[in-house]
Amino acid sequence: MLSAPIRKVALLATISACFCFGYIRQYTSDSSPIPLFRSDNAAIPFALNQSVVAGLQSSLSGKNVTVISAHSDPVAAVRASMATWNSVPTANVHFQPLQSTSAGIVYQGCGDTNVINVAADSADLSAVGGALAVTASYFYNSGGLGSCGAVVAKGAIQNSNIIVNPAYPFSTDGSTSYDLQSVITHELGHALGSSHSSLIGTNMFWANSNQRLLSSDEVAFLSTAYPPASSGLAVGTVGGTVTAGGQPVAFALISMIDPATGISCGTLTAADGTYSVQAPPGSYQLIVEPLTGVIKPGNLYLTAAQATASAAIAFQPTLASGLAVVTAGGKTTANVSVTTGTTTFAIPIVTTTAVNAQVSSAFIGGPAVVPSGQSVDLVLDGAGFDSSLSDSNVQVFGPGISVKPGSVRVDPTNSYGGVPILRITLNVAASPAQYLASVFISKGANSYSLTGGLIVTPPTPAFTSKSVVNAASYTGANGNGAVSPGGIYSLYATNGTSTLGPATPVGNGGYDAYNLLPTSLGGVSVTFDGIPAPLFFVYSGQINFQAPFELAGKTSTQVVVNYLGSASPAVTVPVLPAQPAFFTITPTGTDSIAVNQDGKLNSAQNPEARGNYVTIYGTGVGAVGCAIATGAGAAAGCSAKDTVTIAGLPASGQYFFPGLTPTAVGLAQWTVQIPANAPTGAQTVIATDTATGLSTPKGTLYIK
Amino acid sequence: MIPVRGAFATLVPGLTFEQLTDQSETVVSGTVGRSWSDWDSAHKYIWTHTEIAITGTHKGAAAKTVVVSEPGGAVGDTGMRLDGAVSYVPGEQVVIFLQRMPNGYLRTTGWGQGKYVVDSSGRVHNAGGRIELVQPDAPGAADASTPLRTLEGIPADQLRARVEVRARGRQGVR
Repeated sequence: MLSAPIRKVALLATISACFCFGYIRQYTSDSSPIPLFRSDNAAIPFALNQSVVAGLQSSLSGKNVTVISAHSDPVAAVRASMATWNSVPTANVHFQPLQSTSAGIVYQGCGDTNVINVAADSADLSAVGGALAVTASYFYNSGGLGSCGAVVAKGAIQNSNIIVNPAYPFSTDGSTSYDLQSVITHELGHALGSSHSSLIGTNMFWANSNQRLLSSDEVAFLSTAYPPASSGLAVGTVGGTVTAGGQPVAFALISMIDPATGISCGTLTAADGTYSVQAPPGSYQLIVEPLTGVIKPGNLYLTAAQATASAAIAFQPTLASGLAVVTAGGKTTANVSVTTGTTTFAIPIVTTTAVNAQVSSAFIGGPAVVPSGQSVDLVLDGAGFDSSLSDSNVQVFGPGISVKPGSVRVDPTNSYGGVPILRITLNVAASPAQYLASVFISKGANSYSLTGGLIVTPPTPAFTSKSVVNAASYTGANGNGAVSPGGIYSLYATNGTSTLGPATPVGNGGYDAYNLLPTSLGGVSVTFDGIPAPLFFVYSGQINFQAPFELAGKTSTQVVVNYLGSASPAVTVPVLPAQPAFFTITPTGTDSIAVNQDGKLNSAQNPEARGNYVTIYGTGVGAVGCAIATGAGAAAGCSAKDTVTIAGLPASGQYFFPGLTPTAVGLAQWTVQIPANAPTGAQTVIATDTATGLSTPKGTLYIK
Repeated sequence: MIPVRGAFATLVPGLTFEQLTDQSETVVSGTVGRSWSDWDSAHKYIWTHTEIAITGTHKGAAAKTVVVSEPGGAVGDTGMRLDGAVSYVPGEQVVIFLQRMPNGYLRTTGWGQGKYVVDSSGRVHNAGGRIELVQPDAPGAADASTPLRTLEGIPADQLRARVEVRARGRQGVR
């Protein structure tokens, strides 16, 4: 989990702190509905049932299922989901550190805990039905004296429980189709009172696409529902009326997209066809859509009356003419007249591939992931998406994304249901952040909008096995890279690329709320066989991390770097039981980072006397004599079984201590007495792991 | 006052027509009637129960009425919202696929995927959107499953007939 200041850095990298105030919320279920809200928004407690662990099996659904895959970390996933919502700087929302509980889902009406659990009995299983997970939120349907004896406000959420379906195999490492973190992030959004987003590529879209990140649309919800006391943000207002032949269009989707920044947000028109959205300064393309496409009234909590009103006028997805220009503090009127009639375009099957590559799978209606920094084929399949279309029929909205001229074509070799697919090659400039792009297709009087349906991700992180090296020695092993359990390592981008993270280095701010180093920093995470690594700092060219202790006993590991939803291919890296190395003053020198008995840095100008103690710092000592959680500071006395020589002479002493530096993460130290007979001047120091015989590269100490 | 909620299919994997039919204990046509909300027997969840006057049974035992139960609703001053539950509006003409829940309730199969509203022209429309992960055609292979999207807008009688054929086929297998 990210600490508070770092979380904000991460978010800035994700959404550039841009948002709109629109969104669609949940409401009470009476005749005068108001939005649901949490009154504990600044400190929301949630507990994960302690049975939800890696390898959890369940047969409750009638079939034996590994609900949490063996190498998953559900606690880290839930913490990350909470951190995702906590990281919105323009909202006053904070989930407290995740608690553990033995309690299941209960409702007592007062003092209930917000619990996340896998369905544990027939009541839970019936509630979750066939969904991956559900959130049951209990709320006050009227104000007054609440069940705990205190005065409560109508619409206040009493508590929320998240129930995970034991019929599906979840994972946190991509080893199954169902990503626990994205699911929990979505459900926590409901626990906050969020409805579903109208933008296809968002986490809060009603169907799961393993999207872990928040878009400007979810941020809009949070900023609207839980505004901070003073945000200091400059926004303007866009509003107007949507009409068809002069008649107001009720409950239509209206989306705003700034093609220059990718900021996208959506809302619904009111019963009288009006709408109002606050947004940061920019020029916005407006798209109006009926609730007859991939989003239907039911997906947005509309009442029956509202659903009926939304269907009163049949109209096409409509692109507003011109852009709505928003200025700080300004009010812009943008009325939209929609084109009537029902589109003949079917909801297409949507995916992306490399240019002319085979299609593996797709979603109906989207979304599709678009890795930036390359050309990709957008694939559409369905009635209307045929050879009659050309470049002039297709518009794409997003920064740095465009249709390659002459690339709209039918692929006769691939089909769905016997219907040949349409390919559109998109040229996508490298983007340092994830954003949502939209595609609008029109032909004659008919049109189709894939609004927010393209998730444009940063370029795919690129590195090789050789580029994963000990952070102290800059070496791997046997001509390859290497890691050892608990050691500090560096991972470098492949030459000529800078794809590992943000352009500006982001360092961690120390321990998080769980006294662990964060495993996500600046939008970057690194996993080893699915286990997230604690991070020291990240930027586009390098990541410094602690190799998880869980690698002990392995000979190799699969390393994946994920930057804002863009994941590298898994790279196999050898695992050594230990790889001791001293940190050095300069990258190419051998002068070790060591302190003399008086606490001053050992150097040619400040040598230590024979018989005195020096402490040399490094990493990679491997197994130590105490159990330490990955990412946690070491306790005192975590010793390694190492020997040390200085100038070839065995060195130890009464206070000899090879092992982990107390309170530090991954840092090792060798505290050793300089032999009385050691020669003076610059002398070689070497430490050796007695279990493996692996030694540090030569270091240098200065002796007087 | 019984809340009217939307039909959602949040985070629900897509079903094919064959899966939808096979997973359903009963498939009926009918008219939506009265509804009421109450706690379940474990007093953990509020459910809204809706009575359907049956006009045709396409799978399962014939009856005059059936009660469909969906989680969510309000009892007294306490409301419970469970994202994705399906709503039924009095007077609606529907073809519904119903699955028996472990607590004994009959619930719409696959969330919104199992409810079709019959319009005035006798065609069916799914009330909630859905999303499915789909695979492209394998070269030379015939796809045996039927995506639900292909059912959108077909005559209700055609949907009923397909269900009955599928149900009979499964019985034959047994």
